Amino acid sequence: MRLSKEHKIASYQLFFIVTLIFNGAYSLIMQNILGRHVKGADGILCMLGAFVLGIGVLIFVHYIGKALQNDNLISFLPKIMGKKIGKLVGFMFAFYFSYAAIFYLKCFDEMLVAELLPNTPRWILSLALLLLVLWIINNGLEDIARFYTLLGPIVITMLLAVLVANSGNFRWYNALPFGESDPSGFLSGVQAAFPIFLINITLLVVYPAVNQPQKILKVALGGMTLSAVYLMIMFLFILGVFGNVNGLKIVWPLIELSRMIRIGPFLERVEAVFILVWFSIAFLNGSFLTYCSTTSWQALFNVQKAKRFNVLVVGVLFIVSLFAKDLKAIFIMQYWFSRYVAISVVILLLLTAAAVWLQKRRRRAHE
Amino acid sequence: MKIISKRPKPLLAPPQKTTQQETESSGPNIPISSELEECLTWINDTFTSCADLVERQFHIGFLQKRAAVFYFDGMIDKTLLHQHILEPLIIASRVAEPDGEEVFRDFYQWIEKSVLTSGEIKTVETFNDMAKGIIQGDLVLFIDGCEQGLVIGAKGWAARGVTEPATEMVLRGPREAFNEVMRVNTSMLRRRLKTNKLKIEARELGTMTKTNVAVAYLDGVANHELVEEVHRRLDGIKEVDSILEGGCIEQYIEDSPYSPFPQIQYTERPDKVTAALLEGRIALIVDGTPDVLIMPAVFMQFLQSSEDYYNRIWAGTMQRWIRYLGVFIAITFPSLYVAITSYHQEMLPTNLAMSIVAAREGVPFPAFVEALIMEITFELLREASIRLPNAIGNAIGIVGALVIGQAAVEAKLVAPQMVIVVAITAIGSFTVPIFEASYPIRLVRFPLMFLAAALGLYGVMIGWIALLIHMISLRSFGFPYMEPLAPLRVSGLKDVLIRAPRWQMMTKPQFVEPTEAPPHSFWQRTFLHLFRKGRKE
Repeated sequence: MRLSKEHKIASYQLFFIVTLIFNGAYSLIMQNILGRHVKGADGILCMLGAFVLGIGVLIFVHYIGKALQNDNLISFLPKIMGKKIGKLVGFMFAFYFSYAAIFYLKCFDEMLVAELLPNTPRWILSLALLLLVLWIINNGLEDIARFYTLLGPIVITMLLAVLVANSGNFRWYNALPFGESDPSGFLSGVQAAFPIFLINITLLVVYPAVNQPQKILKVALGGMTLSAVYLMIMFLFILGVFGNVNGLKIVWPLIELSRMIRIGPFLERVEAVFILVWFSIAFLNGSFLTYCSTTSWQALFNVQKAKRFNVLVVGVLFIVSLFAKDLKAIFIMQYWFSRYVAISVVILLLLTAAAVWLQKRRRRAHE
Repeated sequence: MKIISKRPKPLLAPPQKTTQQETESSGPNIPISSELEECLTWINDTFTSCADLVERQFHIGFLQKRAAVFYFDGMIDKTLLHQHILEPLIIASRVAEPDGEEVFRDFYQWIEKSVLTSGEIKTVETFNDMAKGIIQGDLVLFIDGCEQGLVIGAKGWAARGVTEPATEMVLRGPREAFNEVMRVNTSMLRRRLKTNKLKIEARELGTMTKTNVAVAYLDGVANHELVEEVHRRLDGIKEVDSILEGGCIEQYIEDSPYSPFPQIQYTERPDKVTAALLEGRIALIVDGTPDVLIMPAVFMQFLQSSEDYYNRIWAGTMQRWIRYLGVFIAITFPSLYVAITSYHQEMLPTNLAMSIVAAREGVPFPAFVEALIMEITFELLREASIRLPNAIGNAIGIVGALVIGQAAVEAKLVAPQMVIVVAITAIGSFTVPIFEASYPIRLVRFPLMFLAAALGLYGVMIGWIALLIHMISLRSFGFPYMEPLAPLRVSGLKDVLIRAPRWQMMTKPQFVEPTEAPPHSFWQRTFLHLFRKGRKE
């Protein structure tokens, strides 16, 4: 521990970020989304496919991240792609981070309205959460990482607890059938689940801020694998508890699982506690994604007064988020996410990796 | 490296300088006159309208040289004055037969070495230094025909003795507390740390009060950058008029003075300061303050008591968890009650929900207003009783119990459950071993209740997250306030989640990169010992 404030984060802090970011809002509605493409437990295969694609993305991210050194992704792009194209690609990355931030925060708002506060206007819930997010992003990534490590163990314990507490309700036969979906459904399922793991593109923003960049790949892979395993088990559990028809129609599966918990004759309904756990996750992931978004926009517009600019960015995010008025809007956002945004971002990633490769080759030739 | 530096402007505008003040403090250094009359005039002009200034003129020994001493009545030890200053100068010096040449060549040296039997003597050459000596509570001596003066340490004002700690009582452990005399306090530390590595650096703060302040640390254990930082921040308050108590300094040098959370710990227990010094922290001893400031401070240390380390391991661990629970209850319980009874009744077991509904029948206020009334009443009672003599304080307690416990319930102003909630909340806040830390806990309860009334459990969670964001962002002398939880320092958790055995905690001090190797742990010592023994055999 040093006396100074170094503005760097440790690799163990990154581990918590990665582990929780995959368990963010997307997984809240994943059951329902996969249920539209595949039958029964085949959703696990879709997730596995998406996970493999996610590893591919991670490898590209690592390749680009190493080239970044201490540079911000958005300010690095014009150096390797030229000013105009670099700015354009940077703009698209910043747009992706903002889109992801809005999507994650809106998912949580919608869950809150549906399950806990049906009479409270959505904008109040969004505003309260965004104000907290604004506060912490102004404090910097270091504080966000500290928050992850403070709440991470509690959140992970609660996520496991919800499964363990429902183990008595689990029936294997409820989770069947397995392997009966048609291949096209399987592929579209993979595409639907892919945005969960695509989020590791955000690592590009934190690469320069990690104390030991050489550990990032290992840490990210570890966190991603743990999350993937948890998501698959959760998927199976929901089917095992609610059956292969109802289980695939549930929108907020973890909340439904927590609703089943009984602690003796005394505590009957503890879902509010789990909703608060999700609030923690929503806050953490929302903060991280908004941080990625604000730093990217800052770099894009070369902003000096970061705090004021952050207010502007968060204000815009808030206003844009007001357009998503209900659950239907969330599903439309998810559809765009998996169909257009994800594919565009993968193309951008490949372009960036190619540019880095060319630059390295040019440098080697020059030497 | 960026260390937060604070060089505050003085709160009070600098006073208009008068001739008298110029002479006292920042005026030119006027050399002492060889004429005693001039010296007397200067002193009397400087300290006009100071009725407690005592002037005593006399003749020294066989030479019958004229001399005078000055001091403030009540600030010096009269016995010392009579037995070790006046008697030797007036009587004993008559029988002393010095070499005549020596006497006239260096009269002061003869007085200092052969006549005076007092321990602290300093020769000075300017009037300013003489005046400073008088102000500090020393005695000054002028001798006719000499261009020097003597400042003789004779401080001896009335002071409170060493008593038991008033706010940090323990069942097991030492029962002595600091008092208002700085030297008594430093001696308590010296008695516990018998090493020349204990450094006590003195300085003076406050242009008017000239308060003596000592910065204590263990050389080789404390981070020298931290020591420098403490001095740097103290330098920043040189121009402040008055330092009346340690709290005045605290406000100037802490990192976030507007935060409700204290970033510097104060304690009245010498054993706690000793432990802090051994951990590499720095202590600030302020004259006139019965508490010593410890820096840097992290939040978790405010929830630790000295007793935890003296008790058995499991007892210490249990006590800590009870305190954590107490803090959680003190902050959250009223807001949880408001949130659950107003928004989330479904969370309650049916029987409990029905019982609450039945009890609230006829209560005209919503749960939030009910809780607010009770909490404010309780705070009023606490504030009223805290500074009253014990007998009246007890009476207030009885009135409070009757008013809150019975009359309010019978009058249907509040539900009986609310009384229980407030009582448990109060008990929870009393578990905090350091009184200073219970203020923010009491304070944040109110906004949390408001958020609970507005947004239910979501509001409570928003309040908690806001609280944690603030606490995580705090630094104490550059060190994270929430350490070892955020940032996570696993080795530090053995003094937070549990109270590990002593030998497991004797590792590298927390706040430093020490220049010395840490002491070996118990196990290392044992095995090293066995290993060496085996080798010899």
